[in-house]
Amino acid sequence: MNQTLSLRVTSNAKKKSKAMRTLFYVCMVAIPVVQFVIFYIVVNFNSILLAFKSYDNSTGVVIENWIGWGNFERIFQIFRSENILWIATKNSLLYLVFNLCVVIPLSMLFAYYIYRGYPAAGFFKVMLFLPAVICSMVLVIFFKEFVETAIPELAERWFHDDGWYAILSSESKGPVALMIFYVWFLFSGSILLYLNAMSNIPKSQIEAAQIDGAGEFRTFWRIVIPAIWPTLVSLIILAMADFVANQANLFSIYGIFAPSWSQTLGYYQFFLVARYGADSPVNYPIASAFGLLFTAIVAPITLLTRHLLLRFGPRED
Amino acid sequence: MKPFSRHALYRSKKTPVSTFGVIIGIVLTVYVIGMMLLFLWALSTALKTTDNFDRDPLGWTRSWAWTNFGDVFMKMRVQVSGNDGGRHWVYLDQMFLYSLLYAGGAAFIQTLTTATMAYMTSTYKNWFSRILHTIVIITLILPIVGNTASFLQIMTDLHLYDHFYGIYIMKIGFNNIYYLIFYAAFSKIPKDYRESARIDGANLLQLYTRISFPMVSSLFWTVFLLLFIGYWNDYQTPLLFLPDKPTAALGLYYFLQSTDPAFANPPMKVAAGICVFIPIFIVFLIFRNRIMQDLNEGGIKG
Repeated sequence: MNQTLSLRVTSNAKKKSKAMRTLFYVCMVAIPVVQFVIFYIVVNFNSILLAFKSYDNSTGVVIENWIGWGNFERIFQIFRSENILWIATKNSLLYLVFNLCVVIPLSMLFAYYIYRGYPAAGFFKVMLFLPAVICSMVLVIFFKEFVETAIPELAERWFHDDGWYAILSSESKGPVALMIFYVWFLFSGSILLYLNAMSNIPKSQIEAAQIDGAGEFRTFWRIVIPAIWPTLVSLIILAMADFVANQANLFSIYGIFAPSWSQTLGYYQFFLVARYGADSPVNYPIASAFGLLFTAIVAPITLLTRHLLLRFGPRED
Repeated sequence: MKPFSRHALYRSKKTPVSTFGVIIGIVLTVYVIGMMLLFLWALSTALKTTDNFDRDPLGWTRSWAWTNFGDVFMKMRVQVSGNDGGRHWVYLDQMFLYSLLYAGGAAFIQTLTTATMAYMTSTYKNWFSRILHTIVIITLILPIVGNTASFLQIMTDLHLYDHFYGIYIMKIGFNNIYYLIFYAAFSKIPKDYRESARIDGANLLQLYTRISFPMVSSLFWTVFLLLFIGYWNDYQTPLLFLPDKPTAALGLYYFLQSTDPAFANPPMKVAAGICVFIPIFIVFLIFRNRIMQDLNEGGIKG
């Protein structure tokens, strides 16, 4: 009798404990989950719906219409009749190539230098990380004023060339200045990630390679790269995913008046929304259609690249 | 732990710097010198009078015009709509307050939500936790672009637009890279700690707040600082979602675009940049070891 009672009490206590755990779990995750449903699922679903709508406020009242594929036809129309989207696509590709071929390899090498503790590694680490701390607007002001005032003065003093004024408005010199600025301040974002990944490489592995006669470059290529491969793949994927969204600091530099030769897909898309902000939704549908179209192109390419890099990339063993 | 000790594992007098290391060192030096020259030029420019700058935009300042910084506080302003429907000016001191509210609030809420969700999914391994964990990974690798317009529309429809509480709600997100770092940190904590505390009478909330959370508190504050710096410097979110509460970064954006001759000159603009940069630079100097430490180093205490 007593044993049955005891078992019942234990069973009830277990049930109560399980109910308490469930209640606690629900209370803790409920708000973030609801937020996720609204700000991820609903937002993206609404973005898809927006791509098939249009807004007309020519009468002063915003009228919503369903226009089917009209926005996508408009985008293709812009591609056919105007240069702006071709230029933006070309510029975005150029930034992607520079990111993949210059920024990522140099970031890895810089991180390797710090990781090995070579002279002034601590100082370089602070200096490389500093641009990540500084507001992009501050860097833009420093760079813009330097390029627009100090560089022309230098060119005139040293080379007696007075053709270096208004560099950022010049179609011939502007792209180079923009690319230098883009590359110069892009290193800091990834240095810590590479350092994180490198710090997990066992010391014995490096020592063993060097005892076997491997030089510094060979150690970097054969030991370090395979060890940080997952991090490297993540950063390559991030760069590729950023292909459509990358504004390349253009909005910070030019506001809504970036010259057409400088524009990227990311700038064009942000400009469509930022031009009127919440004041008028007239540009929302075309911006959403633009995003949907390019997500449909970029997402599969990015995911496939990730799969291939992880499948056929170097392995630690 | 000393800040750079982990990366200096191999520093030894016995291993000289190789040619490969020298080449990287030279490239690094050129890069850093270029950056330092730009910063020095900016500092010098900020301390010049307009006349002094027009005469010599390259040389080191001789005028030491500290008043430029005072002028920035007087002249850097943004016109916004007030609650009464009228227009009024927001000056730099108030922009700093808005920056603090935006960056501090958003960073704290996001860090807390992310850490809490990582704790819940790593500790309570049920089917829903597995779904949540998978959702985070999918959203991190799936690039979605062009949903800003939809965001703006949803925020307006929910009456969250142009309110700090709207931004805070927007930031209660856990699908970010720090979730995975917190998840790894919580997973490393031995289960025995919680079980012992449970036997001693701790309730479920106390297991999180008194046992597990203190062990990742270092990581929590590191993530908070990184997010804080990011939000302090972000001007595009306030531009779109908080237009009447301009932060210092947004004020700087408007200041740069301004064509008013009273302050559309390089010394004033660069001085404004330095004014916005100084507070976050101080934060960086104070917490640089914490900010730059490996995130996995800061994971578990004890």
